Amino acid sequence: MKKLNFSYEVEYSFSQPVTDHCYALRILPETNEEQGIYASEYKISGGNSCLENGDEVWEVSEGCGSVTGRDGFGNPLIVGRLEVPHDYFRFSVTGSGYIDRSGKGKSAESVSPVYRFPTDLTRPGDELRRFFAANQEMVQGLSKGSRDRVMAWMHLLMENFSYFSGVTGIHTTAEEALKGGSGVCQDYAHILLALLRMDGIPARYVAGMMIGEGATHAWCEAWCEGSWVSIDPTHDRKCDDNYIEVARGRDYRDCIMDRGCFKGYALQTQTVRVSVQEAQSIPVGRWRLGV
Amino acid sequence: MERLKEHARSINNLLARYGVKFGIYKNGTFKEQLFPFDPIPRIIPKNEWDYLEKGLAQRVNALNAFLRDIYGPKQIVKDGVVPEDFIFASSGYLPQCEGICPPGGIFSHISGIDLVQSKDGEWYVLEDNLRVPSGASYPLIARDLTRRASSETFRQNSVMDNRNYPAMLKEMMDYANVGGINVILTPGRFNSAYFEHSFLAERTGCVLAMNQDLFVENNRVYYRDMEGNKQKVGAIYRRISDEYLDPMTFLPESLIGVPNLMAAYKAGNVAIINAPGNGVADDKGIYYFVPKMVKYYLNEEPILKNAPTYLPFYEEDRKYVLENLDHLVIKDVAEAGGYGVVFGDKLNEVELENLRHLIEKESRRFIAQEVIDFIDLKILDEDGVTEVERKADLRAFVLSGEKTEVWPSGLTRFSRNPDSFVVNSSQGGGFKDTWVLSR
Repeated sequence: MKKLNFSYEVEYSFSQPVTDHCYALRILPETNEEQGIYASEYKISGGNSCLENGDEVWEVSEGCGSVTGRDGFGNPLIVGRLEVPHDYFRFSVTGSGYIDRSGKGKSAESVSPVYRFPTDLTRPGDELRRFFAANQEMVQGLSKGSRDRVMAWMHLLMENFSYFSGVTGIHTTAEEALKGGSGVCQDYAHILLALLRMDGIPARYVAGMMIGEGATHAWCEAWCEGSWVSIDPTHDRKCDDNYIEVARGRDYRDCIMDRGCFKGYALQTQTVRVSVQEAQSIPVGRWRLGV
Repeated sequence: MERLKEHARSINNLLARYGVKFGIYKNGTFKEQLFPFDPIPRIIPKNEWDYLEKGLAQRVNALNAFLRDIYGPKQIVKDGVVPEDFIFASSGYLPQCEGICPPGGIFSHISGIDLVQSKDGEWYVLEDNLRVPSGASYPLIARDLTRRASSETFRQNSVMDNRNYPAMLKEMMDYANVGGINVILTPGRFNSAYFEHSFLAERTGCVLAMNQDLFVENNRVYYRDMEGNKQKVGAIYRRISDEYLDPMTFLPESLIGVPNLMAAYKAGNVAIINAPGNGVADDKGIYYFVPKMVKYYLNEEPILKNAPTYLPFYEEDRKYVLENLDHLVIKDVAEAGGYGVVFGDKLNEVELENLRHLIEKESRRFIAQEVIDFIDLKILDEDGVTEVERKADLRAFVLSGEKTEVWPSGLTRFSRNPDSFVVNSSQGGGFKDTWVLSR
C-alpha cells in the first residue's frame, strides 16, 4: 500500500479571446476497491489577460469531490460553459489517496457486455487477426480467461511492439498501430484490448496517472476469474501501487479526460502538468478497501 | 377522385411553390428536388385500418419496452431471447445512454413503421424507423391542397381527417416536456427534410432552432431568442442524428450539435425526441426479433407480421440463405434508406458467389428476406392521363406520449421505375395521399 499525492493541471491559452467555451472533464479519481481517494478538489477558471485592469478571472466552478453527473461508463463528469471572452482556461484537480493493488483486483458481480465487443479503435483487421492466429500456440496451454493467459498476451505484445512517440496519434486504431510496429501507451492499450476481446476476455481501457510519468497514462483492465485486474502493457507488468485510476471505458474515446469546444478564431496552446508523488506519512492501522 | 386527377398538375405546382421538397446528396453534391405528388390516393378501408392500428400500437409499445430494457436491466438478453451480438455489436447501440430512462419512459416518441400489402391482402412490416422518421408533412400538406382543389371529394367520401397530426405531435411533446419551451432542432436548410422541419415547427407552435440558438448551462438547456433573452427548453424534437447530437459525447467534429446536451438529458432536465440510442431497436438485424419482443414484454400474440426473414447468424438460416440466394432480398443491416439492398435474382453467378462468401464471412452483417409480391397501386403517368401500376409501400406514423396513437393517414411512396421494388424517397420516387375510411 502506498499513499500518493497527486495533481493534474491543464492550461489552455488562446491567441485571441474565445467565447462560448463548453467543456466536459473526466478528471476526478474515485474510491474503489484498489484506491481510496480521501481528499480531492478541483478548480476550473478562465480569464482575459489582455484587459487593462490586469488579470480578470472568472471562477467557473470549484468543488470538493462533487460531481455534476456521470457518463454511460460510470465516470464522474464535470460539464460547464464559459460564455464571456477569455484567452486562457485552466482546470486542476489535486488530492491524496491510498493505493493497494495487493489483492485480486476489483471484484464485481457481473461485467457489462460492452467490454466484450470491438469498437472503432479496437476492431481487428488482417494484421490483428494474423497476430492473434500466429500466437495461438503460445497461449494454448493456458486456460481460457485466466490471468496467465492475459499476461501471456501482454508479453507477446511487448515482444512485437516498441515504444516510440510521434508516430501515432489519438485517432490511430489498434490495427494501424500494430501494423506500424510502434506507438505510445494508448496504442499498447488498444492492441491489448483488441487481442483480449478476440480471445473472449472482457477488457477495458483506463486513463489515469502514475508516479514518474509526468503526463497522463493509459492501461487496461482485464476481466479474469471474477474481478478486474489492472495491467500496464506499456511497461509489461501488472499495475502496482503507483497508479491512480481516473476514467474507464471501451477505448480511448470513452475516457477522454478533457473535451472542449469554443467559438473564436484562435490558436490554442495546451500545457499539462501531472505530478504523482509518494507521501511520507503512512497512517497507523489498516486502511479499509472500498466504501 | 376524378376531380383530383384534373387538379394533379396545379397541386404539384402549389407544392413546388410552398417548397415541398426533398433534398438528396448525389455524388457529393446537394440537390433539392420536388417530391412528386400523385393524385390517386391509397384507400384503406375501416376494418383494415382498425387491424393495422392495433398492430402498430402493439409493435411500438413492445419496441419502447425493449429500449427501456436494453438501456436498463437487459433482461431480454439475460433470458436468451435476443443474442448479445445483435445488441452490443450494433452501431445503433450507444453505451453513452446506459442507465438513462427518458422522461415518461418513452424512447420512441415518433415511430415510422414501413408496411407493404401483399397481393393476397396481408400486411407485412418491412422496417421500423425509430430514429428520426421523416415524411409526415408530405401527406399533411398534400391533403390541405387537395381539399382546396376539390372540397366535394371529401364531402362525398368518408375520409378520416388527417390534419390533426400537428396537434397530436404537440400533445406528445407537451407530455414529454420536463418544463420549458418545445423546440425543433434542425441542422439547417441543407438537410433533406428541412421543409418538414420548418413546416412542423409552424404548425405545432414550436421554436425552430439551429444549434447555435441552444446552449447548456448548469445542466439545463436554454434557447437564446432574438432579443438575447434565454428561455429554458423542456423538450427538443431533434432532426439530427445521434452521432451529431452532442460533440462532447459523440463525434467531436460535429458542428450541428449542442455541446453537453447529453449531460442535461441524463440529469433529466430535458426530453429528447426521439431518445438517443434508438438505433439498437430499428437495426435491420434486430427486426427479426420484434415479434418475439411482443410476446416477451406484452405477453400478447403479435398482430402484425414481419416479412419472412432469415438471419445468416443462425446456422440453419445461413444454410437456407446460401442455397436460395438467387430469389431472396439481401439487406446490409448497417445501411438505411434503400441503400445496401440487393435482390438475388438481379445478380449474375459471379456476384452471387461473392455475396455468398461475404455472408459466410460476416454473417452478422446481413439479413435475408423472401421477396413479397406486393400489390401495385395505380398512379397517373407523366402524361397526366394514363394510369399505370407501380409498387408502393406505406409509412405509418405512431406517436407515443401518455398513450400510443396511430395517425389515421400515412405516407404512401411509390417507385417511378416500373421494375423497381425500392420506394425510398432518397431513390427518387413519388408519394400519394393515404385515405383511411371512417366507415
